[in-house]
Amino acid sequence: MHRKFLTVVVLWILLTLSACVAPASPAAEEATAEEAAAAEVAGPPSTPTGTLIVALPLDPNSINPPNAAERMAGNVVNQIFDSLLAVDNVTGDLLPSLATGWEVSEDGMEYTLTLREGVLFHDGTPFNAEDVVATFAAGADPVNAYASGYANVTVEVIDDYTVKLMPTEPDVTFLRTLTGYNIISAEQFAAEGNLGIETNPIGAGPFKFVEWNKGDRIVLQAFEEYWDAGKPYLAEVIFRPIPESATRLAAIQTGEVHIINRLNADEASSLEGVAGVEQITYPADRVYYIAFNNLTTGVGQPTEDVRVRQAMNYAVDRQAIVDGIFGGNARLSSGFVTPWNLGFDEALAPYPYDPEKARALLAEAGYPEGFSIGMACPIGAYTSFEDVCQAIANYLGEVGIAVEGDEVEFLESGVYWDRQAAKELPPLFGDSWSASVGEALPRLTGALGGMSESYSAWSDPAIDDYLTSISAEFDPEARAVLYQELQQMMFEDPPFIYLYEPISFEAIREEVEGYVPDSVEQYYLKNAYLSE
Amino acid sequence: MQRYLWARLLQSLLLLAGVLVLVFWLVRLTGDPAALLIARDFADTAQLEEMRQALGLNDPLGVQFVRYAGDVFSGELGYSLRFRQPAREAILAALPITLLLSTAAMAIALGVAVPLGIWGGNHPGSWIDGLTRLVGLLGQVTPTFWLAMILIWLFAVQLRWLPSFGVDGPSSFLMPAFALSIGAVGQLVRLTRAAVLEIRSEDYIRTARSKGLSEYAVGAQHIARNASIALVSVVGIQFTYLLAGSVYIESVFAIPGIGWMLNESIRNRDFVMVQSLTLFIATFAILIHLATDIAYGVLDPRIRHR
Repeated sequence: MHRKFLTVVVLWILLTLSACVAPASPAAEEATAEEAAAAEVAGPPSTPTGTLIVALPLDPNSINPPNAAERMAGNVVNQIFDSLLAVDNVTGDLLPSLATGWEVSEDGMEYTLTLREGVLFHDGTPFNAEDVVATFAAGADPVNAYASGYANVTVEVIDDYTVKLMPTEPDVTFLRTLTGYNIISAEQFAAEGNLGIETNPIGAGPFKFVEWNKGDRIVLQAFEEYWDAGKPYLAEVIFRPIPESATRLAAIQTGEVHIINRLNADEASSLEGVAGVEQITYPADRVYYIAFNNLTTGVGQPTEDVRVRQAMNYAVDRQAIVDGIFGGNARLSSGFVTPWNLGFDEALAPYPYDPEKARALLAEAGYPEGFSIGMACPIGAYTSFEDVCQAIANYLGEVGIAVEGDEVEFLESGVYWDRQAAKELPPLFGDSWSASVGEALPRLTGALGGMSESYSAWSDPAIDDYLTSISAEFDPEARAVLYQELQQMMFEDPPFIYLYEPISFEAIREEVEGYVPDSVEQYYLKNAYLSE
Repeated sequence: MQRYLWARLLQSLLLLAGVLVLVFWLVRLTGDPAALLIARDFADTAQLEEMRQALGLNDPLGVQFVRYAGDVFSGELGYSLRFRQPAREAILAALPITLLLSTAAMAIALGVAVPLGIWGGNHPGSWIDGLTRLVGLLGQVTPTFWLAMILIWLFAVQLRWLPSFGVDGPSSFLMPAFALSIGAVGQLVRLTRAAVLEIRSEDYIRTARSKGLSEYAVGAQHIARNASIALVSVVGIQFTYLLAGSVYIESVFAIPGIGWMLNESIRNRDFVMVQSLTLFIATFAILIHLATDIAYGVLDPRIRHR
């Protein structure tokens, strides 16, 4: 009797709860067209107004520019500090920022930059060449464990508003990399050192630092004397770290935050039709692939034969994987250069799914019965990548290529990358690589640089030649041609099973205007404002 | 009593030493923190190697352990690379909010469980007893994370009564404290009910009644006092469970306490921090058990005089 009573009550509670799971009322959604139009026309405010609240998926490790280890930390830093150059997130073009002009020497080893005059730091001290010197000195200090690149640049002061920057090695993407060095105040660095910047960062960017309560919030306030007159438009920006994605989804619906990012396709679709929330989608500049190895574990394996590698590219149904696992939300890769990169070849179509052709190629290569080979993938590093690897193993199995031991070797990502760096992973292994300089060069070098690169397992003299020429070609148009030739070559003689480039999903409140993230989730809030 | 306490103290210290060793070895099974600390796409081998050197990860494990044990005994607990401050400082800064949260959860648990348990225990078979048993069952079977999500969905997204995350005043604590308390509510309500049921059929209760004591006096002086002995031991244990539960609850509700801190440290393989926090929580749990034993002695003369 009591048991029955309990069962009834439990069922009743569950039913009540599930009945509550009805879609939110659409009434609030029906703002009139007039109101919407008025908001569009209104444009940014003339004085900084309103508070923008941005949810972060993690608490930044540091907001001292050279120490900001991940993109989310970099995005906070970007609002406090300006760099010598900036990138237009819509066109991808280089823009002047703290430098107004630049000249590159013939050999590409000297960059002479004219600095903007009349720029103030948040503490009122003026910006000049000494601050550029201090920036590279501070970044090169070994206490900044995460800094990279700073030590490879020599700064020479020509006069107060002219500096000559000299990379230690030729770097065709050098101007792009300058967008990543946030300029600090020489006065603050001299007085307080890196630790001072760590706790109270003083920049020349659109927003000044107010407070950081770890794990809770980072508060920034509009800098009224910002050099870019009329900006920023927002009076205040608050970053709130919310580690749990379901909570971030709730917070955007309630309007407690204005921007959330790093959504997966399911989370994004759960926000469809929610009043007041808009979605932003863009393909990420990150290529997923299964790598081959011809340096260590892959030596003597069938994958040394180009026909086998082609066959494996034909054997995998990328579209089915993307549809089945990502709801169609990814771009199929034709190579290692993405649409965001210089020299992307639009004409190059991804390998079609053609198991017959795969079998024919395998037979031609001398493996009519197929063969077996080891394959590994990381766990917990990338969205649904475990499923992707499993699917690939199945597709390979269909054309006769068995994964050794009958299963993909899944390893926890930390261990995985250790073994990858030691070049001990099996001859097939899955991974992905992003790019943040608008070119595929770092990705190509990193993954194909042979023994000298940590995470590379492949070496091909023909590719090396191209990488050498690209690294020495300072004319972007000529470089684009080289990239296209290399893509063609890497298509015909593939060092990877090319997979896909994921689509990034973010959600914003409808009143947010001028928020434009780029392909690596980077944004500048000086252009953002709240309509209403 | 004194010998008993000394023995318990010695046991506790041995336990702590065990925790220290165990945690040290366990976190090192998870892989290389340098690879996680540096954005992998941009790191080169030299940089990773430099970082391992700086972190002392290239030293033999024995050396690393001695260094860590030294940090522990000096009370500094080492330097957290993720939080960029001494571990002790970081933990002490995050502790108050976790204590507040778990105390609130315990208050909710006791506030719900004790009256309900006493009432239900005193009226077995009644509808209120049915409710007591239902709460006891639901409390123990409801997954905390599920409840947290349902609460957020209902009270923040649908009703807009409470903030969905963060710490912005007292109302921010309602949902997390309630979600955190649910397991304790379940156990305490069952325990109180069972204790009351058992005690009320004891001979001394019958004696008390037969000598004409009022129902209130019987309830307060005999039943409640004896039931509280059973309760005290469980409250202590439940409190340590609440601390463990905060690891999840604080992350869901974005509350920067030590539970959140442990989660962040694990995700970033901050060895120093994971070790320190685990050791800290272990110490806390051991202290609570000690306090429980002492409270036991005070409440139960049989133990005091043993």
